Amino acid sequence: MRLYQYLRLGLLILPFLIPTIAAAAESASLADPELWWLWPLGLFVVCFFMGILAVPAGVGGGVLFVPIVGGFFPFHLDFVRGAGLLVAMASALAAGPSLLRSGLANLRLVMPLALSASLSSMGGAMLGLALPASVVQVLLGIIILGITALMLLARKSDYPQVPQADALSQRLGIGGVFSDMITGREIRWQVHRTPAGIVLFLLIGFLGGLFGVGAGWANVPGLNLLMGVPLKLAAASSSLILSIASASATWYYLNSGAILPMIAVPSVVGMMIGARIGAHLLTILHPAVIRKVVVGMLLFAGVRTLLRGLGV
Amino acid sequence: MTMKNSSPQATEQERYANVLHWGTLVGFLILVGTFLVYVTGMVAGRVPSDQLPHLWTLSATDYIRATGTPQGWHWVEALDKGDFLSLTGIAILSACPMVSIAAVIPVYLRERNFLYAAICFVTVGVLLYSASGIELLHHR
Repeated sequence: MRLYQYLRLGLLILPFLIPTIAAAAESASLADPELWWLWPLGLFVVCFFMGILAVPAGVGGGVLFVPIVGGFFPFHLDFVRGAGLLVAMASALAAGPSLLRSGLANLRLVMPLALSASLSSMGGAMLGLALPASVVQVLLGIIILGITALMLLARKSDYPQVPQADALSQRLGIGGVFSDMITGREIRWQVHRTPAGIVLFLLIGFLGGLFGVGAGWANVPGLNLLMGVPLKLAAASSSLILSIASASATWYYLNSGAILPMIAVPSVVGMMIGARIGAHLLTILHPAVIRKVVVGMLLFAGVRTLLRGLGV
Repeated sequence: MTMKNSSPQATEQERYANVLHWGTLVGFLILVGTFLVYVTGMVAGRVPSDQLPHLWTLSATDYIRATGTPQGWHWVEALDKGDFLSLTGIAILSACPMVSIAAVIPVYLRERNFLYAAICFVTVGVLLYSASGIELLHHR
């Protein structure tokens, strides 16, 4: 239990820890270039704690990574977004097999939407690398503040009512039955507004590629509230869609030289280890408190990113 | 929390999950292994590590110009350098969705579900196009 107490303390001081780690690494490496290794180490530590926070807060790693690392570390936003996409993709890839085997993620629901999102994701990546950094930074600040508002205001529906499946979803054979082992309920599900969902995922994929933030924050409300997918199924299927759409944009960043292993790898490894611990800590951490910490951090990082983009 | 899937889609889900599981595992091990080799200096990077804090503040375009970093698939020609060697794991992870989707196409064809086989085929095409770097050539 003592380890958990240290971790809890670490999470509480995280908002103050990140700028301190970034400032310490910067001053040390500028004073002595031999201390360059403090950067990957600092990133690893920060991403480890972000990974712990991401799971109980119910957000993807990418949405925390880009504004926070982009706001407090001196890396150019191009490299931060490249690493952010990789962070989002790697976490989703790691979760994919168990989500599919348990039936929580549904491949027939995923594929049409993933095709739509992966088409536009590459377009977003191309635009993101072509636009001036200050423009991307301003837009990123706005989108992060929008995500924060979405986290605070969005409704959720465990089992949305879908009286009639639309023609396209019937043609695609999307739907089925799953049994929730916790409640013991057998739930028959079907979806509606599939054409609107496909258009929405074009937009979501574009934003994910443009900002490198992944898209779980938009996928879940899109699946749950628009298409009527049960919440647990929406969360799991969102992860699979994200892994496919992010791969499309990641290739573009990789081929463009916008992924630096010294930034990307410690971030991915730290986030993945942290997320595993975060999943185990779900029982002892209070998700509502963690969610407030994350909302506070996103608010701060969003404002900071916006102001940096505006040159303030 | 666990749930049981009672839909008749278990075969395609299982195939996708298996390919994804092994691909991700291999990719992740290579990612960590090659990075350790790079960061410990066993294989030096093309750009010296102590120079990076002065270079990663540049945009990707300026970084490439300043360091002569190869674009597209030319990074494969520099695998004897630690920083490019580390990209191998990233490329394998990025290829995982493409390979997993390609692996379920035969399942759909066997079920005569040509609609989903076509959706998967087009998605693999999109990911291959993105991976090819062709789009980058248009922007040079």
